[in-house]
Amino acid sequence: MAPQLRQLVLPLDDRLFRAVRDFDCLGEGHRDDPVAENVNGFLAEGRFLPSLEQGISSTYLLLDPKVNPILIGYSTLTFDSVRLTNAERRQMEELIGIAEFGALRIQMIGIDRRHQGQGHGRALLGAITGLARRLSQDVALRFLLADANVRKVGWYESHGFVANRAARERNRTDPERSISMRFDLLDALRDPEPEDRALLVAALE
Amino acid sequence: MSSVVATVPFLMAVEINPAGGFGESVSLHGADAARFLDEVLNPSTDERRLAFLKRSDEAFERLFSSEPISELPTE
Repeated sequence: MAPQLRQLVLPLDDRLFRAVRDFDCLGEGHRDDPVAENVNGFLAEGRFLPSLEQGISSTYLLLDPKVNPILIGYSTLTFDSVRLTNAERRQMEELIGIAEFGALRIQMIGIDRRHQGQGHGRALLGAITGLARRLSQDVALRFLLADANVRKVGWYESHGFVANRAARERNRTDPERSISMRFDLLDALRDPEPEDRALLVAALE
Repeated sequence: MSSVVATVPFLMAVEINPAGGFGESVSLHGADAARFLDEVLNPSTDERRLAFLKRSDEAFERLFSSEPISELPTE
């Protein structure tokens, strides 16, 4: 059986609960890393449970019964949106008809230290992105958002994520904080009909 | 495919707020806001993004199981 990404549902049986409690993503590279400690504790200390019970977020486990520990990694997702402030809502609505963009937020993502360095993080991020792409076919979902560990910004950028704020702004923040990033789920805009294009160009001029 | 190029005014502000109370709220101003709006109208052709979009479909097909889990799986 190959690794599988499966959505966690309650109630957990004792064995799965122990596997979750055993999760540890704090390897050598994450000493004194409060963001990684938060990612670790969110799962291992059960802090994901209240939001799961209330339907606010969903947690997905990456598991493989052939490896030890069986739990390779996890991610918790929640719906979000990219909004314009009141001052710009009207202008944006005039430009493209909407002023709010649906998004899926990667609230947490982590790989157990015993499975790190094997490409599981990239695979997990890829599967989540693929999930978001499929959801975007049914609901208004344009972006994937992540509050990236500041130490992992380059990793996200290597997959096409962009920071929501320019570096000059990011550098002003606490170096231990996470960086808000986004990933556009759209391949390309569909070509509008010629008449619609003319109207849109006229509106933008 | 041709794209529609927008001249996005600067000094705009974009606010990103998590709906569920998670994560960091971000307000984008000036060039950051313009960059966001330009991306909305003209999706980035960054090769890393486009390549990852393709790989993400493969990763989803390979890893995702529609069967939820509440018990530890066995081989």
